[in-house]
Amino acid sequence: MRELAAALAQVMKRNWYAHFFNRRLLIVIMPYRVFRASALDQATWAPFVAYGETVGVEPSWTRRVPVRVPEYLRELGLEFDLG
Amino acid sequence: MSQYHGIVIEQSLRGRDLPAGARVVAARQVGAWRFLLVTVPETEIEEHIRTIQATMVTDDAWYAHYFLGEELVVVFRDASFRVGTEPSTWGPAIAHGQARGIRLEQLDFKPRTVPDAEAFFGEPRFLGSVILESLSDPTPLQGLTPIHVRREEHPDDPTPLSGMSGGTTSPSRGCVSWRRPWRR
Repeated sequence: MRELAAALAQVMKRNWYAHFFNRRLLIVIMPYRVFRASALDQATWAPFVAYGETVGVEPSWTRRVPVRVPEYLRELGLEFDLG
Repeated sequence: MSQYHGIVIEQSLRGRDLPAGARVVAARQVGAWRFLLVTVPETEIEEHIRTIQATMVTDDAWYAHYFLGEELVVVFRDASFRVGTEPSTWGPAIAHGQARGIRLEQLDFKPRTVPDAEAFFGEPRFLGSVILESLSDPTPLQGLTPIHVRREEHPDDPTPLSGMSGGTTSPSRGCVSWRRPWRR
């Protein structure tokens, strides 16, 4: 995951981000930066929220990154069994 | 709200039930002991300490420890110590543990940072998303197996998106799907 995130950060365009999460960790990938935060504690999200503002990603997105599978799938409009 | 992470050995608890409010986020069996990684809301840590002390078995000496930032909380059945993550601050906690029969090498309070806990308990698989259009070069996605692909148009931005989604069976990479933070 670390290698993938680092590689994606190098090719991420301005105004965009990607994120990955599991039941404990949140990884946010922005242009040239990778942030590891707690998926359980939004107090740890401030660094990527702040950096996002400098690369065109508004806090309205970064403050509500889905980190629970049900809400994530709902946002994607997906309904399937992850197996 | 900030959360303490804690390391609790299941065998230290009578009935093996954690106090309400604590959440087990990982577990690892090491020999006869089952280590639990728990989270406790910062506002509930004092009540949690009192409850877990009352829950600890009485026929042997055990401790649990919790950490948040630079703070380390060591909890024995009959005492608790708020110290730092630096070993130079551990004197009172170590002395108390040794007085209760716990060997010095067991009073190492590991892991005591979130990254160390992740390393100890193992990193769970990740779920996530990448929008192809967000990348200047999709090469890093090669080798990932898509689990979902979708193209979508946003009413305010007619450029169609090719959403690559995917996953891999590799535990180190996990599943990948995608989402787009709509540009305004």
